[in-house]
Amino acid sequence: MTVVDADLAALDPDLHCDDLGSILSRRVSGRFAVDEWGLDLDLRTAVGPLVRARWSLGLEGESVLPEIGAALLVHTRRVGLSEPAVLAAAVAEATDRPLRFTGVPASVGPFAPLAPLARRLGAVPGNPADLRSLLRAGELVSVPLGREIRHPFHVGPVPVAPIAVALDAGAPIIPVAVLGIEAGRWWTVRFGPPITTRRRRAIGDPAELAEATRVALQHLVTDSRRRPT
Amino acid sequence: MRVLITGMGGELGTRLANQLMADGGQVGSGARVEAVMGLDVDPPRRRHPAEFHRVDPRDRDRAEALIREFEPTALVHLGVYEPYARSSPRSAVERTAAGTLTAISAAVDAGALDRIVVRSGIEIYGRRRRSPVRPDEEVRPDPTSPFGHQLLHVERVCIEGGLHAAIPVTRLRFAPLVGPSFPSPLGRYLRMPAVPFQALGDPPFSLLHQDDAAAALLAALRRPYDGAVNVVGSGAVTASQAARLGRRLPVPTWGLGWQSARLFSELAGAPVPAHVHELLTRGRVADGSRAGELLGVRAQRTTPEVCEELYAWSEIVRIAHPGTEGLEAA
Repeated sequence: MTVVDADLAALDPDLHCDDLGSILSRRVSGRFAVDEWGLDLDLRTAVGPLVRARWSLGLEGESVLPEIGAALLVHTRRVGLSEPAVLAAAVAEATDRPLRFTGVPASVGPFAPLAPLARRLGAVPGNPADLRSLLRAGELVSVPLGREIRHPFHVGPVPVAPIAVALDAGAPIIPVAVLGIEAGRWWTVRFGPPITTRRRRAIGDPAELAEATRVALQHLVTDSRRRPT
Repeated sequence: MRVLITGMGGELGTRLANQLMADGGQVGSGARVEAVMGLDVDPPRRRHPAEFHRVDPRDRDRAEALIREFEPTALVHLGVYEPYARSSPRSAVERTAAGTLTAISAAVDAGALDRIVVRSGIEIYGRRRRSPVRPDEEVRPDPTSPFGHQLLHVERVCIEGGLHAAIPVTRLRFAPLVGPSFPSPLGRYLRMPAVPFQALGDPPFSLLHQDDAAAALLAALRRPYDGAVNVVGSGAVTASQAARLGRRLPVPTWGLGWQSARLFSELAGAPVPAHVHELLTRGRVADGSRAGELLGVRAQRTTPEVCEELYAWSEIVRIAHPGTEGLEAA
């Protein structure tokens, strides 16, 4: 019999119990984990089966996702309702790591009641200070492009501010094409080769890097159009 | 090194004085503490070997005379009074403002000062709707509560004093400090039998243990750094989670319900100042990852551990005196 110290067991994800009984017991005793950005790991685990029931995912190139350390995932979106959840599910399937997706519903307006729930599932504000803090903490952070409802195979401009933050933090940028129909069940998530920033920090131009990311994304999207998914 | 500690009557000040005088006054890198003098309106919370003067910070003449006579080489300014911790909100503001001006001007005028360490807080960043959730030291302070404004004023006065004397000013921005023996409005609130929390959201907040705060103060004295450093316990808890950890009843509250909750708390002996209400409804965390790099210290206790310790009261040991055994039964 192997005896494992309780404190050590808490650090080992393989010894972490995710069955319903353990989750309920942690909710009652208050010994569940909520991190500084509001992510609730037990809630994320609990909604996993719902996500798998709603969407069926096809992953391509997921080996580029780092097992440890920070990365900025720049992804396409069509309408933008399903994409954050689809990408978070894809990242969880590939690495079992939580994805911090920017674009929290505003705390005022029609979607305000959804904001606290979104935060519990990994949504974070997209301002540069929070991005910097997330990347410094070694998190995987996603940034969406503008909505392309009419032309889903066109990739618009990549915002420069998050790219500048990634460049400053030395975090790789991973272009991701998230392809599917909003009401549909089948989605394909294609990860492109990471664009390294560590060597470019001294001379890097964020605008140039943003354009390189856009070109990489356009390749991913165009390529997926040529091949049946 | 001649260390002046303002606000020494508090838990942190007394703890720091004891640490400075321990080990023959060695504070590392060859520096040695020759003398420690403390000033405060309240007496120290436990025994200490330092020279202490009970002075109201508003009594400028007496405080200035004592500081000039002492000729400090290092000033640790802990005379930052949190509303409803040890003072009413009004006297907290008055004592903090008067004490800061007096301590800085007198210590700088004495002519021997070579470093200032000031206790500040992450309340200084404020919680506006679009402000960063987890600000680091590069984020511009934008307080949204009276205590946050109080901290900003203290930092500004200290920076001006530092510029005047051309010396480094280390501004330690602590997460809310709570502990079983630490007077704090948040600690009292969380220890109530029923704890109201924000029903829609229940945002996370970070805490700091008093030992980690004292270690950061000591490290800042040893290694002067000119700038701000966030000192935060890693991780976070929510108010409802804290209540459950302490086996209290979490009470979901929203909108106008907070007025009743605050009234109920005040009647129960745990008044809720604006910055604590802000923490409960909008959360309060900060990025403290640079403390290790800048000061060489990291918070040893996580926020959930600090929270659990808040509820761990020391057992009361009754000592029976000889000859009194029969009195209780009678």
